[in-house]
Amino acid sequence: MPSATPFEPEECAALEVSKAPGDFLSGQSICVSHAVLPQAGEDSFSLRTHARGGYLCVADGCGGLGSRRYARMGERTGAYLAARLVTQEVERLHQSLFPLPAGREAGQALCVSLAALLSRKLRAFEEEHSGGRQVRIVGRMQRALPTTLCLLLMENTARGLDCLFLWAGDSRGYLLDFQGLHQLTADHTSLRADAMESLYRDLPLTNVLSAQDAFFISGRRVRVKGPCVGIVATDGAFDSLPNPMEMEWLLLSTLHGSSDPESWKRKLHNQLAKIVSDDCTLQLALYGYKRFEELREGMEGRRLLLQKQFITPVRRRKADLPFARERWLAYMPTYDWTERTAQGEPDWRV
Amino acid sequence: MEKYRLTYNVDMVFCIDATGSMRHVIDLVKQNALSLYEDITRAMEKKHKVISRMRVRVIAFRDYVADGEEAMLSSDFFVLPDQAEDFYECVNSITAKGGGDIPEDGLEALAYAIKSEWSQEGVKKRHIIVMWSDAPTHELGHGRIAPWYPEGMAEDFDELSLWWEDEQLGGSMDENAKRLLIFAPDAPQWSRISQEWAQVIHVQTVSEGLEEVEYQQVLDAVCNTI
Repeated sequence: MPSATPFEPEECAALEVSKAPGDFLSGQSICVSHAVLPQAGEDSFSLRTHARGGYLCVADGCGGLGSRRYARMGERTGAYLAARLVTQEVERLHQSLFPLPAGREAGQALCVSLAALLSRKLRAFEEEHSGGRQVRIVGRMQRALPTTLCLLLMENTARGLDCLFLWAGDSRGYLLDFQGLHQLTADHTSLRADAMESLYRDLPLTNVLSAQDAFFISGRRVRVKGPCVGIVATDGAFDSLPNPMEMEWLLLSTLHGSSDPESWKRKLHNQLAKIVSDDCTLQLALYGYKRFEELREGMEGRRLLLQKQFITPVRRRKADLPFARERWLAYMPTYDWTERTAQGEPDWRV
Repeated sequence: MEKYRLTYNVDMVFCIDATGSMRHVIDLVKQNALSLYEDITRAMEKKHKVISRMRVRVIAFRDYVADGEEAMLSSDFFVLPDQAEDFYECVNSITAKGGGDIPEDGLEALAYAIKSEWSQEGVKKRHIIVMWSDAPTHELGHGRIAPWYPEGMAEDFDELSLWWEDEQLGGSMDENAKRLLIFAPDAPQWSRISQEWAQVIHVQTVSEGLEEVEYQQVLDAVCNTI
C-alpha cells in the first residue's frame, strides 16, 4: 500500500484572515474532527476559506455499508477510503464550482455534474483497487465505497453571503446568526423526519455516494444579509446529543468562554470529545463580523434565551422525553429551515 | 451533558443448520455463534456504545420430511450475560444429524426467526438474525406433507418476503432495527434474498467458515450499523 499519509486530512483550521479593513474576521474557519478509534476514523474533510468566500466540506464513510477491506490500501475499509476520496476530489475541483449558479436550473445542473464527477472518481478507484478479488460478501447492506457528503460553497459579496449547500446522506449544513442555529439540509432517509425524531427513529439512509449504485446530490441556496457562521457537520456531531437544541447550545456555550477562533475550536473539540460516541467532524466559517467579540457578544442574548427556555428546563427533566419534544416543537420554527428560511431571495432548492 | 449516552437493546436469533452435512463444521459454527456475541459486545465497547440489554435465541433446523419432530428446535430468548451458561449449553447441545436430501428447510427457520418476540423497549434497538447453513433450501412448503409441519407458516417465498419487508405482516421486527446476516452458499434462495431483501449481508461460504479478514468485515458491518 502507498503511505496512508495522502489520505489523512490535513490538520485543520487553516486560517486565511481577511485583510479587508473593517471586516477582519470574514473567512476565518474552524475545523474540529474527532475519531472514536484513533487512526481509523471514517470521517474526512477539506476546506478553503477566505474573505471572498470559499468552501467547507465533510464526508462520513458509511462503516456498516462499507466494511469491505482493500488489501492494497493497507486493509483500510471502503468507508474510510470513500470519505477521503470525495473530500480530496472536492479540494481538487472546488475552483470550478464558482461562481455559484444564479438560478434553480443552473443549480440543478451543478448537482448533476458534481454527482457524475464524484461517481467517476469512486468507480475508477474501485476498478483499480478491487483487483479481481472474488466477491464473497454480498447483499443490500454492502456497497462499494459508500460515504455521505456535505459541501458548503460561499461567496461573500456586497449583497450578502451567498451560500450553496450540496449534500447526500445525513451530513448536515447549518447557518448560525443572531436569531440562532438553522438547519438548511434535509437528511436522505427512508422517512422524512424532523431533527428530533431522527435522533430516536434511527432511519436507514436512502441516498449515499458510492462506486456501485446511482446517487444524487441535493442543493440548497440562500443569501444571508447579515453576519453569520456557515457550518457543516457529520452525524457524529449531532447524533450524540439528546435533542437538537443541544447542538446550538454546544456552539454558544463554547463561544461564550472563548477569546478568539482558536480558543473556540479548542473548547468545541474538548466538549465533543467528551460526549460523542461516533466519529465527528464540525466545520465553521465566520463572515461579516468585524471582531470576534462582536460575534461572541452579539450571540449572548440568544445564548441566555436558549438556556432559559430550552436547555435548563429539558435537562432538569432529563428522563421526560414528551417534555423535551414539547420544547422542541417550540424551538423548531427558528431552527428548521429545511423547507423555508426567514431570508429573502434568492432561496432555492433542487 | 458528559454523561448522556444513547443505549441499545440488541436481540439476536441464531439459525443453525443441524443436518448431517454440517458435521464437519458444526463445531466451528457453534464457536462462531458463541464468539459473535462476545465480539460484538467487545467491538461496541471499544466504540463507547453501550448495549443496555442483549438477548439471544437459538433455532436449529433440519428437514421436515426427513427428520420428523426434530426438524425444527428452538429456544426462548436468553438474556446475556445473566443466562450465558444456559445459552452456551443450548448451543453446545446441537448435534449434526439427519437432513435427508441436499436442500434443507432453512426458509422455515428464517420464518420462525422473523416471528420471534422481538424486544420493543429502548430508544435504539437492533433485531439481528444470523443464519448458518452449508446447503441450498427447499422451496418454502416442501415439508407441508409432513404431519409436524407448522400451521400458519408463510405460503411461499413471496409471502416470506412480505414478512421481512412489511412490519405489519412480519410481527414485531422493527423496520429500522432489523438485520439479516446469512452464512450460506451461493444457492438460488439465499442469493435471491440477498438481492431482493433490504438490510441483508450474505457471506457466500464455500468451505469451512470465514477467513479472518472476512470475519472482521462482517463484524464491522454489524457493529457499525448498531
